[in-house]
Amino acid sequence: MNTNTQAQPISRGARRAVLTYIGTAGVVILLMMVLGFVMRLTQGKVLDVNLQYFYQIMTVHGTGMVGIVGLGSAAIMWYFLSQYVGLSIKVFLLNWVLFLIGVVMILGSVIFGHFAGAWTFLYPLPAHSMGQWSHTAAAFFLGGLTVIGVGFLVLHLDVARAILVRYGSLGKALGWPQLFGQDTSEAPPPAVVASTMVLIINILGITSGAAILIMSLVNLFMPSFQINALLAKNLIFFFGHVFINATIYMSVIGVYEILPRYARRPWKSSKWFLAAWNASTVMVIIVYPHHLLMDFAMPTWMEIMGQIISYLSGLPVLVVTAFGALTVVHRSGIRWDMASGLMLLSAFGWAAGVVPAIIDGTIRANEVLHNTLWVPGHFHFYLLLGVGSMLFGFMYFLGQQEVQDHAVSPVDRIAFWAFAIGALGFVFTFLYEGSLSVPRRYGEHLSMWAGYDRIASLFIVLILVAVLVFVGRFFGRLIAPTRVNA
Amino acid sequence: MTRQDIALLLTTLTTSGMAWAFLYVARNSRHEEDYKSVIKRCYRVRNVWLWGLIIIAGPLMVGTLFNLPYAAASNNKALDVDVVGHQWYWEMSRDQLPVGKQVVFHVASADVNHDFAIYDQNMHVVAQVQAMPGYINNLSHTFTKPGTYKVMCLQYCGMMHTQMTAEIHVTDQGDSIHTKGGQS
Repeated sequence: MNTNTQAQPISRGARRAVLTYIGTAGVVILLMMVLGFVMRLTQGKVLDVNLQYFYQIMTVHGTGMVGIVGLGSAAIMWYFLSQYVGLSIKVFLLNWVLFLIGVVMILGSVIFGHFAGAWTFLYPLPAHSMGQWSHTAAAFFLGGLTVIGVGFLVLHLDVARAILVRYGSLGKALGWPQLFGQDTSEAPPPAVVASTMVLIINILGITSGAAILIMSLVNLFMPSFQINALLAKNLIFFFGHVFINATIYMSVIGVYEILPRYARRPWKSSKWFLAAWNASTVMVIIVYPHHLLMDFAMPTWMEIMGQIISYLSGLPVLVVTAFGALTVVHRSGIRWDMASGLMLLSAFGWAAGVVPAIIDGTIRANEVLHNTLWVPGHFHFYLLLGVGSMLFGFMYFLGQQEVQDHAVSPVDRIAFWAFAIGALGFVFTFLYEGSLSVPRRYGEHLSMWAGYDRIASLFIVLILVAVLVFVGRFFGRLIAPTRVNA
Repeated sequence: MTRQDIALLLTTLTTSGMAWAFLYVARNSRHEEDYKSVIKRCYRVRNVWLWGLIIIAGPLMVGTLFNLPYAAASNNKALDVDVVGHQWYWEMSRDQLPVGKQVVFHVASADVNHDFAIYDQNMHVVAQVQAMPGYINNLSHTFTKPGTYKVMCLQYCGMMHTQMTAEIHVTDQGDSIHTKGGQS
């Protein structure tokens, strides 16, 4: 058997740790969705939430979603990667504990300190609240994010350690000998290649995030310590861009691992696959200026690079992952259940979401779409339909293993279609409103926009009901008397 | 057709196409066929798909790199307007502008990040630029229709972010322009 791709069964302790992660993710995602629902109802003038509370809710929703999707995605990566390399359960759990500590700090700063600086904490807003929140509240928020970042950093360092022990170098784990050399042996499996890419980009991204977080903390209490606003923006958006993209790259490991098992077809690291992931490693790092296209003080070459790389970075997704998923499934006699169904839906969500993202990364389009609802439209596309489906599919995958039952009940089937239709309707309402120039992050909308907000809220009801079923089925299987993995 | 309309149309068409492809494959997934023959066929389609993407997206990527908004600079013919964003109002050196004449907005911020966005009478964005502390961003725009344009902040800047508005009155009587320290 090829030593590069030999998988080991996961231990019971490791499995429990993964269940803890993904269970936490399921519950928190549901809660954050409720907050998103409240925001859309407020914009639709169905609820009357004052601006202060609206922006506090917005801050928790954004921070919470980014963080919890990061946690859930890390669980998918860790679960499959641990079958190829020796990861530390203690480090994995340490990240979970630090995450909870960070969440408590952030919730404290928002609920008790009224912090509402958004998850982007764009310098110097945390220090300029105009009396809405104190510097202490801002410090708790920034400190909480730092603690969460430290947890993820330690986790990725452990991933790096384990991969280096098994494969000898990051280059070998990325399949360089097979891609660039004469090595004809089988390359490391997709889970290893993707995890290596993620650790590289996330270590860089989180370090940048930590740098600006610490600088912002110093600025809070030493206002004479000024930060160049453009530098701060670059650091924040580099960190934010890399972290949220890494969630997709971690979660998609579930697609690479789960779909082939159901289709009984291998998904190997071909040269195309390796080329795509190696290219993506570089592109995800240098594409971030597409978030700063309306910052005319940026060097023009960086803006142009942002546009060009936005287009190029769509190719690996559209040509390798989405097409790969279709190839594995096509005429395979695949066994469909909720896990495999959600994984295929996720490949569609990621691929289709790339299109409005590329459009937003086009400078001439960004001039009229930047910071409109087009932006949450495109990122909810690949995060809700893409990463969300991957996470829920993984929950079904684990839950079904717990009870050795892959049956799809009518309720599951209805929930699947409710989720798919609800999510598509929800993101397209965002995109349509974006095309009408409705601004994002507005606590109150003009009456002419409220009707669309209400339509979006109806789609959210479908999503919420579906996710309630997904999460309920997961926990139901964990406490089922027929559980075999207890 | 506005740029926004094109964006929505492109997204709708491509998403529909992809949805069809996924549904087609899902519907045909229950029939089992030898993987090698499937791969052979799929790889042919993949190559067509790749070249199709390159042929369609390539010119779009290159073609949209012209007329970028970054080279705005004042010249003798342009009208200069100084804009400063404050929490939560806009300070503009002029709020009455002519039709058909290039205007260069010199946009700065006195406190946090803002975004100076100009909305037309249909409440569609026609131009925007970030307002950043420590920097002046130059935004060039030529109004093609007279009327009252609304300025809104598109960068979240605190609790009264939505209230940070102003108006620009565009007339076809260019000679009657006067200076005003306008704020909302």
